[in-house]
Amino acid sequence: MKYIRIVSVALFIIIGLILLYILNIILLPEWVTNEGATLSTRGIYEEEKNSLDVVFVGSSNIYNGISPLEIWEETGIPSYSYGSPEQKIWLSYYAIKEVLAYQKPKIIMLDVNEAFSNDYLEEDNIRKLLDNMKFGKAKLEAINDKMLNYDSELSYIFPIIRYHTRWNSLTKKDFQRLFLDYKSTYKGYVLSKQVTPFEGNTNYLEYTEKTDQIQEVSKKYLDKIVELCQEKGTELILIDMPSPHSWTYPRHKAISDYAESKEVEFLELNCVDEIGIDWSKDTPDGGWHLNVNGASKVSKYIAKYLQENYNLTDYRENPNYSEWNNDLEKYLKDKEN
Amino acid sequence: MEINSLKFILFVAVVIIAYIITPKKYKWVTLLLSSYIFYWLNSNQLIIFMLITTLSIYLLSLLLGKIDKRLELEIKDKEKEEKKKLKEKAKTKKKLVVLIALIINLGILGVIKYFNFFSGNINTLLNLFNLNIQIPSMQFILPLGISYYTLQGLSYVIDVYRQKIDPDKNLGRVALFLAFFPQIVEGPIGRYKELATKLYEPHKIEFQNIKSGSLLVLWGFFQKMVIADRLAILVDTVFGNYTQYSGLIIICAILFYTFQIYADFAGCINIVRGVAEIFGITLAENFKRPFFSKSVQEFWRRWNITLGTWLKEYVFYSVAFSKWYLHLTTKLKEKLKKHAHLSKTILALCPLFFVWFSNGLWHGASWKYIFYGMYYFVIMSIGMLLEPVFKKTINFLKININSKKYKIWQMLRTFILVNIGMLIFRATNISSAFTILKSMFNFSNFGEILNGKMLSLGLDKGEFTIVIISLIIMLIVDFLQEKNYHVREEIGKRNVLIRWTIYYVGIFSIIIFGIYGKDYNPSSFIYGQF
Repeated sequence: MKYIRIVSVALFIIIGLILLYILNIILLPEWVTNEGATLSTRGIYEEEKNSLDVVFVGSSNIYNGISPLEIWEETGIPSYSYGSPEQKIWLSYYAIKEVLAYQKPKIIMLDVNEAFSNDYLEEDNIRKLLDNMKFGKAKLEAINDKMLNYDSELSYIFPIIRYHTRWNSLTKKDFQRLFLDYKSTYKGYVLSKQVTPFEGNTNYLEYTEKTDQIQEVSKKYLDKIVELCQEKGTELILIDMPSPHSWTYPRHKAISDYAESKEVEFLELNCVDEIGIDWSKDTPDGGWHLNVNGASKVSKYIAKYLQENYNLTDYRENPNYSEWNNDLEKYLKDKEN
Repeated sequence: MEINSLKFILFVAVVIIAYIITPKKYKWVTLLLSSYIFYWLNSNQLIIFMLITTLSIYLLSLLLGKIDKRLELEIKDKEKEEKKKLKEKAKTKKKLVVLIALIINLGILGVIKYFNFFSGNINTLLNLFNLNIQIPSMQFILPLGISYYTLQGLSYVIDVYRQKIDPDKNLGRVALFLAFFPQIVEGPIGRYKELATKLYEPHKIEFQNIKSGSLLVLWGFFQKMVIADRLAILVDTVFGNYTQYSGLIIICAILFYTFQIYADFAGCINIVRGVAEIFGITLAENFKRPFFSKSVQEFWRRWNITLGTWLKEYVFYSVAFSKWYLHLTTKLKEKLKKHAHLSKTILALCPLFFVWFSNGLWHGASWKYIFYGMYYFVIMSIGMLLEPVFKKTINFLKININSKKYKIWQMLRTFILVNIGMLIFRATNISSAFTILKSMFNFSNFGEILNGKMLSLGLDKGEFTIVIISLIIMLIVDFLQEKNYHVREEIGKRNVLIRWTIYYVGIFSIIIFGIYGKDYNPSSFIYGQF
């Protein structure tokens, strides 16, 4: 009798958890699961374990500005753009932790544009990363971080607590989500073909003696990132994604000094003539981000940089990566049309 | 820690485990400690007031017991006359002791809960006489459950005074009786005789009790989170801006409020009783399907029952058996010899006045609540005074009072009267209650119900659907219980598929349709503030 009772209680709990899991998925809003950034944060789990050699981490600049399939086309290096909107350095720390739990990348490139802005992040932007993060050490640490200034930590584990009010606006799409495959064909990259020229001064990196200050919290987490990468034997490269709105010479100087002090690489991407960004054509939103033209140029430059400076394997002929060639084909087609 | 929260559920789970692993002899210690921890988590240092109440009623009851014992010894072998004298003396002493208990405990309650009300009224009076003295107002935080445990404590002392129970020498038992953690929030107000030993005795935690108690807790959560808090959205909109609405919208808001406060209060009591049941403790019932009452009197025998019983026991009887009142009775009976009904009614009404005044005042420190109590007093008075007239009318019209139709009419009439009472209860003050009452009969905007204004009060179509379905479920459950159908027992008898489906639907409807989280503001229990 006692045995049957234990089994039935266990069964009741298991079925309950399964139902909870299903309802959690149905009630997630579309913007958390299937829009822009979230294609990147969700799709990374669809990549084969330990299959990526380079992972780009950071804000929207990352998933709008670096197209891993362009790098693949040029060099055969498998990479992924893993980012969420306005992702601050403190959140990037947990993103990197998560990456390292599923992948063993030789290089992590971290976008530092957000190192100078304040640390406040809107809840929806945090959720675009964390709601898609799998349950594990990185996620638990992130939701316990006091930078996460929102009361219900539990709602990051059971998003239904946050989104249960959506019962009143469910559509067919929400149920279809149960059967969706979240693979990101473009490897986290979000393709934009829009063009809205930047109309300001394109010589925004004028030399000055001044140095900007990296935000205190960002600095603390940058230190933690450097330490984490060292510990895991992953090379960390800091990058500043091209953006006339957020990048300045004093910032360039601050990051250069920081990189030098920590002995990490800093790959400068703003106003590198060789990349050849044309701010009248290569931006979808007046200079905040890059469109597919810009991303293609930056990606090619990074590809060349990686090839010249690191001894990374070319997997293009490797049968385990045959899917990548199909994805590339699709990408090229989408890029043209 | 609100009891409609996940934290509370976790707290209960931890207490259950602690209770199971504690040796039999000390199980009550676990309950007492948990209750104090729960109290501390809610009210921090304010626990001091509960400790004062506990100690004062414990010691004073012992003293009362001592006086009784001494008297017993003293009157042995004494002459009749002397016996009487000694008895009188002891009675005076006992009265003094009970008075001290009342002063300490009602004093704390009076200062913390009613200071500003009294000082405000005194200031108004002083102003009337052009006296420029002002009693400053003070801000007090109400200690958790003070209105409930004070009544429990007083009932214990008075019962000892009345020699209905012996004083308890065990301080732990008295302390647990006052502090039992789920009960402290909103009652039910327990009686020492029925509760103290039940709490103190060790109970084995039975699987059946866990199942059945949890189901009651689940039902309580449903009532509170799905029904009450959802109704509150519309109620708050309308009452918050009542001048903007009239007619059907007002009627709807009043009706919703009546159901809201029922689901809120009964929901809380169900959570409390469910938790107690898990520990093998049966708490007094506080609600018995009040909306099936056929008279206002019956309503109050079914609504907040334990408060009603308390008031009857300690206010009604205290007045009715007091010397001055007995004196008055004899005099009045003489004077109104020819009007037996009238004298009987007047005599019943006098203690009732105190009952309803206390009832009103207990609910809150404002004239509105006193008016609320008086409202019921007046209705009952009219009912009692006009009883012969009603009887004659019924006979004249040849109405069959046992017919179903007549019973339904009685229920409807009671329900309407109760709704007006709830309107007074919810309105900000007496004058706004009257304004709302008047605007209820203004049907100039009758079209509102069709033009979608109803859907602009915070509840859209979907929410309204949930309101209606869940209210129907609640009323069906009440109806079945009224027909002596034990819903939980019956569910337990069904096969596993039906049982589990009911459990899952219950759990997930609270998770999905419950009012909680960032998009809604989860609210405290209404009766927790009294």
